[in-house]
Amino acid sequence: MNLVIPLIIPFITPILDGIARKVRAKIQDRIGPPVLQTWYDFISLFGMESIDASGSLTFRLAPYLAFGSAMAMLFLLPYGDSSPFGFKGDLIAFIYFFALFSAVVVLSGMSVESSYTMAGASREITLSLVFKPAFAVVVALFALKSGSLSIEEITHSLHLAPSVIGAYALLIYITYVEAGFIPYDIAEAETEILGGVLSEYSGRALAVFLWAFQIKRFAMIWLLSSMIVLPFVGGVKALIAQFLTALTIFILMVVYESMNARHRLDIAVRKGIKALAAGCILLILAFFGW
Amino acid sequence: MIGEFERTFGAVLEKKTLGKKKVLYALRVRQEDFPKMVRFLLSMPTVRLFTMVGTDERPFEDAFSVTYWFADWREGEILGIRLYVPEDNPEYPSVASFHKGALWFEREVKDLLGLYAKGLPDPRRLILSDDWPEDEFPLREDFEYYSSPLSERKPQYLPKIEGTSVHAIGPYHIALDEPAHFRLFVRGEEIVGVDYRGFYSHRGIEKLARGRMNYNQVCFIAERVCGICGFCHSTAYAQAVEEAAKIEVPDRARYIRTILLEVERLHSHLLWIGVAAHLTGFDTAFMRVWEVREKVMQLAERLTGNRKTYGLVVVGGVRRDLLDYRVSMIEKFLKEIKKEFDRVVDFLLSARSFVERCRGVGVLTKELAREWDANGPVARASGIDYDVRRDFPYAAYPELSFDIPVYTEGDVLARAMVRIDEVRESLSLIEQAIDAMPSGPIMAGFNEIPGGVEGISAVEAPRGENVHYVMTEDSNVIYRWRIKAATYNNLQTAPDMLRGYTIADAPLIIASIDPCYSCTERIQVMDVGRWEPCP
Repeated sequence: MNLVIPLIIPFITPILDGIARKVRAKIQDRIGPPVLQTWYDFISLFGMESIDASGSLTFRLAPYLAFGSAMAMLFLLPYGDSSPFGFKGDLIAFIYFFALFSAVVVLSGMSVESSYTMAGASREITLSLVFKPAFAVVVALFALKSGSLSIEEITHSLHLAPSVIGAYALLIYITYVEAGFIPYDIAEAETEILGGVLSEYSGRALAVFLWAFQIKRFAMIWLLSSMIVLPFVGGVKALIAQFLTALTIFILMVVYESMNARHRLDIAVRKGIKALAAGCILLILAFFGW
Repeated sequence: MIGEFERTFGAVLEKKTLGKKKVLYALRVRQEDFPKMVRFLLSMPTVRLFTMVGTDERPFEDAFSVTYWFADWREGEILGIRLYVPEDNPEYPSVASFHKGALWFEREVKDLLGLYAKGLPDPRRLILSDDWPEDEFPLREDFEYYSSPLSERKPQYLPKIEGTSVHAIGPYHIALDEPAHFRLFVRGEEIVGVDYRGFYSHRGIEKLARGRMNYNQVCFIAERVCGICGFCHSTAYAQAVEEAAKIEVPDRARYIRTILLEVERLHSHLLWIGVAAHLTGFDTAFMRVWEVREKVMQLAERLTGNRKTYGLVVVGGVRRDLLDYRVSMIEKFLKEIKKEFDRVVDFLLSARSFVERCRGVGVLTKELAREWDANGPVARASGIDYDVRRDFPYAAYPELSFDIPVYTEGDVLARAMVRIDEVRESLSLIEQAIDAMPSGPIMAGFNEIPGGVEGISAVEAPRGENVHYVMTEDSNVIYRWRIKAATYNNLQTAPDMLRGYTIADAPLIIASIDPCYSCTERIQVMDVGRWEPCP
């Protein structure tokens, strides 16, 4: 049963995006498109030819590689009682695919000769350089505190301590950043660099890429919701609780997003460095038993 | 300005008085003295180059003329110096070689009339398209309006700066919904140089008005120069003709014009604030501001029948009266707009991420603003206390009281704050104008407009000064009509504002001058079905 869930989720993420559009519209006093609009967009994009802007294999493969990494992230996460492909050290694998996703995005941007995609790629690299280590530090703290490298075991053996609470706060922040919400959608800034790496994609490839972004966003939020729910709830109820928590987090993030303007890269980097420093301090605290 | 100038140079000049505090001098001999005169004028701290007009005066003067108009905004004086340029040697001394603000004027005259400024620092083509032949000058009298000669396409871009790559914004860009082509020379994300190519939408509206329309029809085509500050253009044009023909506009018409000018300013500023929010990804503020803007358009619709492009100004007054029973409706609208605007601005400025994006970005120093003759909110955000409404009063402004917000930071935030403050001033101005509205006729009676008279007039459009110059001809037509929009000067400052910032800031910086390409380039609306100018 749990094996099927990661396969269902990709079909839900466009609906979540539709809900985000509705929520945003509500905040902005608009009616907004139907909840299924993202699906309609995908269906029409899938029917369109995708133009190969660079002629390179990297460019053509990138959307599918990104989709693959996002799916791999999903498969490593726990759903209710168990994670379908969980193993000792799946946390490392999760971080690996998480980083691979960004690497693919960067490579696809570099494979076209366009200043927009190049700018998008370079922004993605810069952000990754500060936020990925920060994420790794948080994860290391959880591993240290629970003595495990498996996501499922961590969630079951975490005990609240000052450093763990701090790590939770950081995890929420980093999830928000990595989910690519404004003010951190810098690498895909539409009004500045026309969507960054996405600007040269069209048709099917664009749909796959966009879908991959949504799945990755969902995976990040699911990880956060698992960390919040699973230490306290078990059994079948856990899955429902996970989903409801993820949905709540998602909507709260959308609301926060619509109250903000986009950061400039240097400001985001400065915040990332602060997060990284905070993570390191927490890790040291955890090391000394706090 | 006029007194000092006349004492120093009066001996060599021919004087012609256009109106109160408006003088035109013709310099027929010793053209080499001209740069000295211009330097003398521009050395005064409150004198600016207002506009420059090139005219084909061969039918009656046997030469072309170029007229530089200067404005002293403290004294409220306008002074023109006219040079005659013979056809066989079409050269005159350049002002742009020592005053940046003259650069586009001289490039434009070179394109349209084939008159060359000796010493012009950047003689590239400005207005005509890249495939226009070298020896065809569309504004000359012997050029047919409908002919469109073609030659080989020769784009004249600036060479790339060593070690940079080109990041193009435009001709069509998602953040710049009008045709303008900025070529940013970037090192990483940092902008080190800028090249601008524009005038893609130049359609020769000034040529169209020449001899083909009577003076009143031009009012309506003037309004269609711009989709946002159109009313300012038609008012400025009508004022120029009224001044040339010495027509006294009735009081009620002046008040109606004032009300609509301010409604237009409200609309324009609200539109701009929304766009600025959108460019930084702050779409909630964008939607909320535009909700208020919608109210302003509804108000305009109730007053004039049109949401935009009111079509109300004619020479000598306005076409339709504002009905008195509308007063309470206007007051109701204003109250709502004021309340919602305050709420929305609080919301916008409470988002730290938005303010962070605007603060310290795109700084234009006061010195640079002076050199480029920046005007409107751009100048006022850089510490130049100049507003046409106060300094060259027109319509009902002399009788109303209002503040002119001036900031000294010169960044995007200062330009935003100027506009936010001006919205509040506009609301108060409309209220005052309604309270003080006199009764009486809305049109002046006048006879045929004499030929060969000139007028120059400016209106403070939302973006800055719109200067219109008019020279009439017999049988109620216009011989020369020159439009200078605020963006014409402000856009030239964009490269200086962009340098040193990043491509992330570029759309916001460009937008912060509130550029209006159609004003600057003078378009007209075409009926595509018939492929002729719309009447």
